[in-house]
Amino acid sequence: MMKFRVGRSRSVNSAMTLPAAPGRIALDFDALYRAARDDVFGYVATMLHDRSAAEDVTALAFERAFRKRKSFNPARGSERAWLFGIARNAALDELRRGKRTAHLAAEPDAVSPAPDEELERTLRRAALRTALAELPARDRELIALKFHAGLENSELAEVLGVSVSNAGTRLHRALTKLREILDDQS
Amino acid sequence: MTSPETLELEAVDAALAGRYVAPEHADLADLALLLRDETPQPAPAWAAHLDGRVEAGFPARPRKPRVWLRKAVPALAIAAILTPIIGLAALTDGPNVGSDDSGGGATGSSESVDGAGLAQDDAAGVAQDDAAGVAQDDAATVAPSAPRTGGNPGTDGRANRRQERSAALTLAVRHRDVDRVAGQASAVAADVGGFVQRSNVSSSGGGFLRLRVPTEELDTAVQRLSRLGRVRDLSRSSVDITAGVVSARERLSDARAERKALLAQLANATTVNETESIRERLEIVSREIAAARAGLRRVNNRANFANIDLTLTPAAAGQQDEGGAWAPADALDDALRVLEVAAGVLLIAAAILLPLALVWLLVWLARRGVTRHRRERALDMA
Repeated sequence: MMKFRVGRSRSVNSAMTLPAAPGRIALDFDALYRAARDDVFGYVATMLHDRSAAEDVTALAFERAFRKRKSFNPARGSERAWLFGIARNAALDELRRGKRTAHLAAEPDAVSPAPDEELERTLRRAALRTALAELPARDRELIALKFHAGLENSELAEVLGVSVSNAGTRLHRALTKLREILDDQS
Repeated sequence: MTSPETLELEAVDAALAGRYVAPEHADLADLALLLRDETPQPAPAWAAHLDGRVEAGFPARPRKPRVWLRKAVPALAIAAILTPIIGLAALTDGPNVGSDDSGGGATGSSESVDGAGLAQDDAAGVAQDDAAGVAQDDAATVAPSAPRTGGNPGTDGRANRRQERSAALTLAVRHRDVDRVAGQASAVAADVGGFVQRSNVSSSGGGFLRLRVPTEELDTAVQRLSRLGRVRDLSRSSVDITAGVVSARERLSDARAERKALLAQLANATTVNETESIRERLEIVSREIAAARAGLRRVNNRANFANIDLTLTPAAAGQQDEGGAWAPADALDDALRVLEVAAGVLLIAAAILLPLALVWLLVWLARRGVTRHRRERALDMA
């Protein structure tokens, strides 16, 4: 499956780009939104295991980011790390509230006859979804930030508020756990 | 040396970037790609809806009215009004800024003030001395048994008590106004029936005037004098002099009684020697009567006239805005005064707001810490 990127052709809303404070670079919110909308949704959906909640939280995260866009400081990290920090807080707040009960651990695949290779891949994906669901939330979050949000290790470290080496160690540990679960399944 | 952990993470990054991955990490690279392909995708309808909201700049949704804020508005408004008023009241330490004295107006040099004061001293002082002394001598009756200490004749019902009252007033005036204010003070004293007993006025170094005013006009005189400048200090004092009055009266009464007795003896005297002796004694008693009368006059004068010690001190620029034609210097003074008041109000506001801000900051930090802790806990419990 190809990774979908938002590619809107409309002009950038003038309200999206704020004049930069001295020593700061203006945040192009429209560009950030276009580049990160699906990534944020993917991360939040993996975190929450709930599509409906993920949609609400993603929208809330972008709205918060839009309102706070003046406070973005490039000296403290990248735009994406800043945005995912906001999304993370929104997702954790949602987890804390624990109001959502409907879960959707995996998206249903289209039922269609497939060749053997495709069938095997489909089975692997199902096993992966199950393994992801079994991972502790902290490890699942690392996987989501790395593979679903597409963050670099340095950005991942910024979002979690840890050092880059620590983020790498944690990510490696999460991957190891995931592989162990997959091995146990097979 | 590169650790296996680092090598595996580099293999993951290489696979995601579409670069070459060593065969020993092929499984891991395959897992990385599979994970990436498993990214949940948003529904197109939801994505389109969010696009529209972003395009519109996230239009604000109607909020519930904040009842507490509505209730707090009157209190905040009152606080906003009272804070500058309190600030101004705190800064304005004199009751008389900018007022004018209608009783004065005569502008004279220090010499003329002195001259006028001394003239009044000589004329009015002696006149008052005589009038008061004689009047008291002839008319006033003081009970010999009157208590000698304490009490206010106005409030304790003992109308025969006598008090010597005085006041000391320090006014701040501009250098150039010292002479004028001294003249106005003399005029005030004259207006209330008093006089300048002593004065020493210098245009550069301020001045001092001792005013004598009728005791019953002391308050009026102090009030009018206070309007001539910025009051730096005002003190009042009173001393009970009933004992002195009684003593002087008794001395006079005794001397009179003795003279009466001597006159009776003189009428009955039969010999020359006896007559001469009585006459000599009468002369002595007459001198004693004169002395006693003078003493009684002095002590009555102390009760009937109050001292006002008026000190004029040169004020710094901007601290006095009394009278005179408005000039650029006055404008500068006024501007500085306005700045002083504004700075004072800001200082008071800061004194009020700073602790509040500190408390708010502590609460905010604590709340932030608690929220962060709860979020991490939620992740652990998920």
